[in-house]
Amino acid sequence: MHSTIIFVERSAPATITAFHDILSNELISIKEKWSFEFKTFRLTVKNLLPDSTRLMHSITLSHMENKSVIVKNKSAIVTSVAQGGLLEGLTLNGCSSGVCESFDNLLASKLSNLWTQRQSIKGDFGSTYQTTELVIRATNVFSYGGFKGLLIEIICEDDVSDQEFEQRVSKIRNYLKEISIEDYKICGDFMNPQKRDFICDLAHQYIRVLEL
Amino acid sequence: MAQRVPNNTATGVINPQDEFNFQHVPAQALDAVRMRFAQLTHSLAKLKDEMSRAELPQWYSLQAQVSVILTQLQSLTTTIHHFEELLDSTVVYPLANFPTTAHEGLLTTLLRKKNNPEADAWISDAKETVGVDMNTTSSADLRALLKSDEAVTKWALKFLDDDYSNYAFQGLHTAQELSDDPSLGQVDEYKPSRAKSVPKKPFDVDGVLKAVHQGIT
Amino acid sequence: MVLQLSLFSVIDDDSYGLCVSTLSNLSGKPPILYSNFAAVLKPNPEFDIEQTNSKNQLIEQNRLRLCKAVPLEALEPDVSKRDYGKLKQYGDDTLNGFNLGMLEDMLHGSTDLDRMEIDEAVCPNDDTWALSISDIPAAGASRKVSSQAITESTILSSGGRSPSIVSFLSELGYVLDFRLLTIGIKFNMSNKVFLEVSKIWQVQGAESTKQLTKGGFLIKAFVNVAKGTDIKSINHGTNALLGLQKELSGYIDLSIPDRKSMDSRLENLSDL
Repeated sequence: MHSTIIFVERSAPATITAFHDILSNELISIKEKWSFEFKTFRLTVKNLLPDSTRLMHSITLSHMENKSVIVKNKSAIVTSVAQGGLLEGLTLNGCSSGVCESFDNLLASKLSNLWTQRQSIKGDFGSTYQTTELVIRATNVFSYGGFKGLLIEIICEDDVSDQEFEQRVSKIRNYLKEISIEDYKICGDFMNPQKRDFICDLAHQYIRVLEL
Repeated sequence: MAQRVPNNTATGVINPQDEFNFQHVPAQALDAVRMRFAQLTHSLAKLKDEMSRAELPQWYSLQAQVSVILTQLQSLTTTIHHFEELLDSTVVYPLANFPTTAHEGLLTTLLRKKNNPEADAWISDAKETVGVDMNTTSSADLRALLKSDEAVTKWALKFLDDDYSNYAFQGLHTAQELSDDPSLGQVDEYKPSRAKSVPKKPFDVDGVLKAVHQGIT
Repeated sequence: MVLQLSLFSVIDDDSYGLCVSTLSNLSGKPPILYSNFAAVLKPNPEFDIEQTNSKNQLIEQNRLRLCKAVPLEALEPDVSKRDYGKLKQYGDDTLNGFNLGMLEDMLHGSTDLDRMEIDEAVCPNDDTWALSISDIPAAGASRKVSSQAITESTILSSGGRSPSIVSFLSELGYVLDFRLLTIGIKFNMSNKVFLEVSKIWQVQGAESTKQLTKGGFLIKAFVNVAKGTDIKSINHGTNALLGLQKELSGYIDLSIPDRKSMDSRLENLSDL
């Protein structure tokens, strides 16, 4: 599985419609709506070394079973409000009480003396497009009510080479060029090139394009 | 309906001025039956209500209600049977001053003797379940069938009673032991055991919990 | 946030057998053997941490509990011996036949490539941890049971440059404080009451263990109420626990522990 994220800051709320139009020829189907939430937290500890990172990000993706990836300084955990079998196993062994919340809630309630939420960026009611080669998700992005730009998530579920994936992404970039979108951030990197992990890499890409 | 006081007219034309004599209306019988019916329908409605609720009531509550309904049904059938002859020979008809044209629907409803299709279906269903062909069985045979039914119930109850007496459900001794030695079971032999089986406490709970929550200092 | 209502007691090693049959009869079911490994972390002591958050609310420094199931195969390879009888073997501090290194790997991620392959076979991709923070139990002279609020989340896996859970948590600001291994049996009593009879060891490094419950077993009877505001369920749970307490009184005396013993906040702030 491969992924790449594109963030177009210089766009209008209607750009997503133009994108949909130009993608129409390749569309096989339109799938369910999706949403994401990107939060940034800052470590409020006073005596940190001056060059250490103070920022931690949390990405929650509706299309990944609402899992959240929390990343700080290239170290990450994947969390969820677990249900079903997973939680049962933990409860049976006395690890869990059977009632879970999101990691963000934990940060906001119990760890708020260490971490303060700095910003929150959201995309709601995004569209999911299935083409022959890729699954493309697009959504308008808002922060505290203000429009921030257009975010496009490109995922390839087929087992293809890196080069092949690059080519498929190039096609999409050409479409963007056709609707006069050339100024944007794009990232298809891996959080840890030695050990690829799909959801962590995806989170890493979100962070790279969305962080200020 | 009423018993008409014969008027001396030969024409048979009814004089609207006549007083109606309601003396021969079997009021007592009707009232008794009506009351039993009212009780029964009330209980049935209540049960139907309980069953349709989201949370079913406890089984013993339902069982009690069914018992009550069966008793009321029995009471009703007894009453009807008691007044059978009288009710059988009673005929209902509307008085002359009944506003027929205005309340035609009501009149047909009140006088209808035919069951509605639903009730008909229930009745035929019940007859089928019994397995007795009402057309070919004589009343004597029917009575015999009912009696044998009652006999089976009586036998079952007696059987349970007899078997029950073979067991001792209380105490620490079997019925056999009790019949052999009547002195047993006179004293309450249930005693709380405080002997060696009470566990000891090798460590302090608070100390362990403290280590679990804060580590060993 | 879940509210855990509980009562505790203790029995000695010799009373274990009778206790198990008594409780099995009471609950109507045999107990389930379980084992978990808990790593408790505390805020990095080198950090100068605020006492209030951005909204000026007082937030106490509290320990984090990371807990994961220990596969029973690691305790006892013979499946026919994997029942309550297993606990009769642990009279002292040691844990014979158990590879402590496995716990280290769980925490720090295995660096041994050979072992990584074996781990994958035994518990593939099972990097799941329950993360929780508990408040000190509620106070009150008239309380009948201990009532403790627990906030919990689930960690499915870790990733990134140094894929071990501990490295992420150090970025979060937490360092390892101590480790515990619990082996016990669990009874499912009526009315959603659970009863655990367990032995707990403190794990010191990859080499040694010290049994906190030496000579006996810790008994914990508890009910988890999903919503702390659900008074009806809290009352129901409390009554269920009290019912069990009454049934077992004279044999096992379940009681409310000192709430200060169940306080996981950092010591220097615990007198607030």
